[in-house]
Amino acid sequence: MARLIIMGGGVSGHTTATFAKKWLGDEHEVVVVTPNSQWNWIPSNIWVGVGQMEKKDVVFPLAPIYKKAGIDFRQALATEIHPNGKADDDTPYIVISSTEEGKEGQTEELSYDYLVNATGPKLNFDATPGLGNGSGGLSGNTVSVCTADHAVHASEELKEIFAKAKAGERQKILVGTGHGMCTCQGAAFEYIFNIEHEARKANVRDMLDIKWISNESFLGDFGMGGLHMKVGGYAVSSKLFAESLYAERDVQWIIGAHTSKVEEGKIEYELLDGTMHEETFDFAMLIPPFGGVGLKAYDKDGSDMTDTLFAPNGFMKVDAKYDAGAYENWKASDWPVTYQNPTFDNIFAAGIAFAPPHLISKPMTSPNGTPINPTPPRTGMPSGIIGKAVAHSVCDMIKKGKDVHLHEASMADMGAACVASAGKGLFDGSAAAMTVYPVVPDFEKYPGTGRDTNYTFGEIGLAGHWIKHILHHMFLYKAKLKPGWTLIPE
Amino acid sequence: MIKQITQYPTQTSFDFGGTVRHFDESLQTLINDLKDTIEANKLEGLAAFQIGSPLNVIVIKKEGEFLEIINPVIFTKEGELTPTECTAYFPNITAVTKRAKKIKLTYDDSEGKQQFLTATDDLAVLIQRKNDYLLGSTFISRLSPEEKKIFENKLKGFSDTDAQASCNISPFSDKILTVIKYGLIAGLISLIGAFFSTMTPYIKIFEHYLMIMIAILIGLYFVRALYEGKRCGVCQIGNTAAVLLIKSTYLAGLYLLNYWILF
Repeated sequence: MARLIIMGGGVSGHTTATFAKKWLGDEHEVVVVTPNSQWNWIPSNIWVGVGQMEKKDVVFPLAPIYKKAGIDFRQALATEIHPNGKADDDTPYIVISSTEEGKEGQTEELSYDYLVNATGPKLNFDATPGLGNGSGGLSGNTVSVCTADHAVHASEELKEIFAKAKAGERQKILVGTGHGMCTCQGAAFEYIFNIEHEARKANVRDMLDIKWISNESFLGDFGMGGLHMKVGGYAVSSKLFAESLYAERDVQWIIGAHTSKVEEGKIEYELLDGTMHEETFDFAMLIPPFGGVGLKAYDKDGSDMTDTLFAPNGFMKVDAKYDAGAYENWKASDWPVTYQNPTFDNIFAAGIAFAPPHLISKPMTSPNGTPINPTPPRTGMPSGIIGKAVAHSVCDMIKKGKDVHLHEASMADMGAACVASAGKGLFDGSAAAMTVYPVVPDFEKYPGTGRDTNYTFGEIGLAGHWIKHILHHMFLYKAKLKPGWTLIPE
Repeated sequence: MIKQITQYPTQTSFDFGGTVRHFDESLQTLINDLKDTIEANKLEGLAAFQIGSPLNVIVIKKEGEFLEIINPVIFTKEGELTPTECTAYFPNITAVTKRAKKIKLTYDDSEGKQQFLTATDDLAVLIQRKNDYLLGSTFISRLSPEEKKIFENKLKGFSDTDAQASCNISPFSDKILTVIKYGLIAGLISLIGAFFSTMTPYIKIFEHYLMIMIAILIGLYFVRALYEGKRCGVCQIGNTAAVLLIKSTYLAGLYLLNYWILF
């Protein structure tokens, strides 16, 4: 009997674990180690953050689902990987620290045959002074929608802002990225337009100044270097698409900005030209940069070998080309295909946890040397697809032997769909729906833009908004492993 | 080499805005072509799109000197101007646009080195106008709704092929699609209504004729869309056939629901 351990129970980890268990059956053991007791459908946190959904609508407890599926669930934080085992035992193992109520901090060693790192990111609030509280958490200066609890807090704060606006007090809202190296602009983009929509519904829009701040060098970059969309049969740049949306909704924007400091009601930021500026706010939601979760790796003799398994940013090294060099040398083939660690063939990384070879957007640096560019998005659809491919590979290795051909899921050969809603009602919302293929531009296959314009298109309207609703229910249904869950695509 | 300047009604290509990654001889050739074409036509500047290249390159002629702007990113806009603009893409037609008075941009020079530029007034307007081409657009995207209407009327007068101008108006086939959509919705609603009322026989008759009408409309749409495509000089048979298939699938779905619910 082989044991597969999956560290992390988010989109990619949950996908890997559930498919692996389905394919392996009871002959082999699947263990999930995640510090959270609940699964969170993160895209809908946006609706929680504007008070249109409650936390219970976007989360569900993992234990009963895993019990039903026959997956061994450990509510714990993985802290160490020992891929070569101990001095007197070659069996690889990980060290976990319980987060279960009443057992907090209890450590345990778990041996494995295969290990999948799907921990997701560390929300690195402390990368920007004043954005974090110094101990890894969110400071009180801004809010976040990265977790369901953060979104609940954001919703409460927003309610107060709306109340003040209703009382005739003009309010400034700032939404965007809290650092020059952030990703997930899409979430902030969705949040700002949901706030704008709710403000209209609450009749307080004219009392709000809503402003966007982002590390993108142009509106509509979304960390993917922008995209060219077919809209109504015409080709439109995502920049124009975004600019017209912002102008239409009267949302001001600051781009090419690295938020360097956050204080109560004020941020300092550096622009691409190196100049420093300030912006005040009454309410701010700033996405933090992502980092690796801080897992450590140790060799048999106890020596630190974290550098062997992980890139300097804390994400796990996989089969990517990390020495691609300057922007002009970047190729689609630099991106990982199997997500297998190059040193240990029984270790994989899925979702945000893998270290990307380089950015997708063109690198930008201010004259002060500050990098100001979005880092590559690996959330949502790519996370799920990668998770499933990794599950396939591991299952094949367990059943057929280590020499099998591994399943492939390169982001340079993968499309992604993104729906950014504005509003939640069935008849009064709208959404920008976009598909992009491939996620990572392939300049050799598609000279010029690097993308296939036949499969890269976008639309804005109520129908896209319904898709967002459908996705919410479908993915929660799938994640709860209800009948037919495998038929729902990632 | 002097190149032919792309003019309306040639639509912007799907391939535009390609980031320049290699600062090599082919880029230098493109820059030289832009300069030659600017000189030959006595222009203030050109975007690469205007001579048929998808790359993010602009060449501006300023006080006798050429300014080569590659991969421009305008990151700050201040103030507002409402200049009257004209461009080689729409020869002899002007429009009052909305532009930023002052812009700050970063760009690469012809050797790939990052540069910064602050431009105001006329130069700012010119760079913004050329930058629109790099985004697959023209200054039409910077017009107010009222100015856009005026401009479109000017365009109709300008174009020597009325057929091309007529491609910009909402096609009749779209209206047929809208009627089909509402027909299908009406069919669904009346089917749901069958659960709550005793009028099932009447609903059966209504559904029967509605489905026949939708089938005829789908056929009409196909013929009309093909005709419009031909009139506009574009081949849309793939899209039209796809829409036909989708609508037929919806109709088949409605038929099956009818079969299960009403019979």
